[in-house]
Amino acid sequence: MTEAASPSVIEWERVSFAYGAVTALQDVSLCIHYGELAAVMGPNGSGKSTLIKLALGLLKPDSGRVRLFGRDVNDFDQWGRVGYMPQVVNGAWQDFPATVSEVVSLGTYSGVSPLGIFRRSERADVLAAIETVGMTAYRSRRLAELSVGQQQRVLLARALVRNPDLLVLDEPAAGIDVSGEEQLYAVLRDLSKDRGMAIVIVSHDIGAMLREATTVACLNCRLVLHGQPHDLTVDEMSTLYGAPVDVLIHDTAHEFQGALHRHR
Amino acid sequence: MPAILQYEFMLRALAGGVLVGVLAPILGTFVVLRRLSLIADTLAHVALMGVAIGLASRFLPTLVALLAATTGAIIVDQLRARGRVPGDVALAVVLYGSLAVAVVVIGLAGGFNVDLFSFLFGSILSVAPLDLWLLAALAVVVLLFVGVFFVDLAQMAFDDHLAKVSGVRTDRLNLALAVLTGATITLSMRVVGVLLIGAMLVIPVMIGLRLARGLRAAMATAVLAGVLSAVSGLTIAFYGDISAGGAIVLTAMALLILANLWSRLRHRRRTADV
Repeated sequence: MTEAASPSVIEWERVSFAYGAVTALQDVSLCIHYGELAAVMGPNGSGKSTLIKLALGLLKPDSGRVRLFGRDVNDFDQWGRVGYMPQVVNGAWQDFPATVSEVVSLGTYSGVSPLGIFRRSERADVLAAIETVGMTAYRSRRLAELSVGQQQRVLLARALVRNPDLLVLDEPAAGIDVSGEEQLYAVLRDLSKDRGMAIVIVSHDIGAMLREATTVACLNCRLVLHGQPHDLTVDEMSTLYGAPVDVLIHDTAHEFQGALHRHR
Repeated sequence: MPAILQYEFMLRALAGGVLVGVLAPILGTFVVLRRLSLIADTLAHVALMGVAIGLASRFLPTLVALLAATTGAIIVDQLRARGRVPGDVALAVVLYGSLAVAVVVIGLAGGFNVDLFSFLFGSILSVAPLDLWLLAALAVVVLLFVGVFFVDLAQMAFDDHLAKVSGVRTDRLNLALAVLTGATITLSMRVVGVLLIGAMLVIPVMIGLRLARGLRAAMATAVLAGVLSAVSGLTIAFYGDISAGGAIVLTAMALLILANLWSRLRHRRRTADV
């Protein structure tokens, strides 16, 4: 099997991408492996989301290759192995009538099903995924009635319902309070350690990323830094963001430095 | 037997109304949730261009309109898929372009006549047996399409990117949805009229979204509202001797107002309980 020969889950090989004349990524090579909880960080416009979209086949690179589980992403068809949680935009699903169970059951998709209109949404795997994110009490509520943080948990359940090998999360903690954030990362830690799931998180939350991630990739159109969180210094992070990090991240600055000291 | 059921043209109009009442909200559910409501109006005007060409060349206007709307749907979908122009701008360009062609052709052919009037506003007298057969065939195709691809379409309506990452072939389904919407709009013209068919794709769906919990329930409610509006509207048009399209859409509007009131009342009662 190709997967056995290549243990990487996602591999970007010398990837470049531009939106018209604006370069988003230049010559980026990066690998994500099983059991890795990888944080992708960088300032706005640094190409974080582009990197993710290339990995998911939503964009095609101008040059270079992207492989998912050892296969070129253009030929990849085992999408059941990939869970994706996009950023929640406030009000995006205001009119969407689906309940929490219905939204999560959309994630169980496994190809065209005759009479899919009659498929039940309250299957065991759907209920289990809803329970994993602690939303069981809300499963019959309409998505639009929930807060942004709750909607994010529903989307996480949707991404988890097929028990994927790779989980990609775009700003998963935005709009979640401190205790919700701790719950979220507890779930992700278990998935990564116990199930060996590869998890990629795009985030601006430097403190949380340095605390939770096993590897950190810092982008600024190019791959500026890549390594374990304790390899990164405050100066390197400040250079990346083009501003002193403790100003940029406000109240998490102490957490960030604390994390560095702890690891050293 | 009531007078309304003693005329063959009225039975045909009612059958057509029921089919439009079922078809338009089913496709409209996906159109509205994807915020593409303008697509209905755009394709209606492309169909109008087809009607104008058909009337001027004395060739079956419905078939020419069907051809035009299908081609228009493909063009609109391609413009949207390539993403070079924003979706609403692409739709607006196609809408006004085809309306301009329609106006020129109508002018060259000697101006408005009764036939064109019935295409614009719908008429209970104009539903021909061929229109009915085409509508029935289309209904079979649409019901099969939505039945088989419901989960795929629901995914796309929820989030296009998420659908793609789940393995849904969004490009093909988008095209199929656009073509079927174009066909539905064209064949519904005789009953509701070009200018008002967009309303049948949008208003019953809004009623469904107000009242129902769950996507399937919302679609079923929308269909119910669509059929109810069509049948009551046609009945009112028959007895009141008014435009069929206008009567149908005004009935749908009245139902929407009732649905809004009901939904607000329910919400208030629920907050009072808490």
